[in-house]
Amino acid sequence: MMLRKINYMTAGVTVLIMACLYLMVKMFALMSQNEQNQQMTNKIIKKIEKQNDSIIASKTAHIKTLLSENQKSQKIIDASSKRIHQLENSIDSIRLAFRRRKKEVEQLSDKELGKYWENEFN
Amino acid sequence: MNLIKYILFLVSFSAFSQVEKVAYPAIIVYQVDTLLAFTTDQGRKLSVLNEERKECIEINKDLIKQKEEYQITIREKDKQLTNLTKVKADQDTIINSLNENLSIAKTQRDVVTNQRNNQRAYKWTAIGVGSFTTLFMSYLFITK
Repeated sequence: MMLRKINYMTAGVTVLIMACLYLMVKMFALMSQNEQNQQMTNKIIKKIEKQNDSIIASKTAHIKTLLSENQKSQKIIDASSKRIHQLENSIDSIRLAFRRRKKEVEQLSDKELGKYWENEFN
Repeated sequence: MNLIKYILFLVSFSAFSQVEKVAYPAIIVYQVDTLLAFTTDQGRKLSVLNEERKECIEINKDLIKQKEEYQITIREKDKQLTNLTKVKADQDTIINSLNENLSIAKTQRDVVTNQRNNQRAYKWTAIGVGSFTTLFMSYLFITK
């Protein structure tokens, strides 16, 4: 009776061990498949990352070029503003000079007036 | 008779005053030339106007130059604006790429965390099963 019981138990344990072995084999197979999938995913991810990094690098370089162009434009604008300012000063000095000139002309004597018009036409 | 004399005097006086009131500028024929005559005051006014004309010409030259300079400034500003629009578009693309990279990194982190948790579960299952089997085998060995 005892021996029978032990035999049943041994059979049970054997089944359990077999089941464990089956599960372990299956687990290893799944792990291997998982590893393959993981490798593939990593490869794709690296490719995407590389692509994105390349996009970022090219766009950064483009931005740098555009900003350098803007700096050149700014230099031109600054030079232009300087010239505009100089021209404004020139206009002011012209106005001042002609204001004086007009006062002088208003006070010309008859003889000087004659000379003035003589000079204008000759 | 006196009345007639008086009337003649008035007529001659009015004629004389008309001669005095010649309005200038006037056209005068002098020898063989036809002249346009101005008074000296008018001449002074004309010379002031002439100076104003010269002033306008000079200022106009500078204003034309200023206009050219403003056109240059506008053109360069437009260029800058276009470039900044492009910079914005590029930065948007960079942000999108970085977001994509970030999302990939997050996914990778999740995968690794999941793997670690699974490994822990496998480890404790293996320990449990191994312990149980060892204990059971020991029990069998002792009770044999």
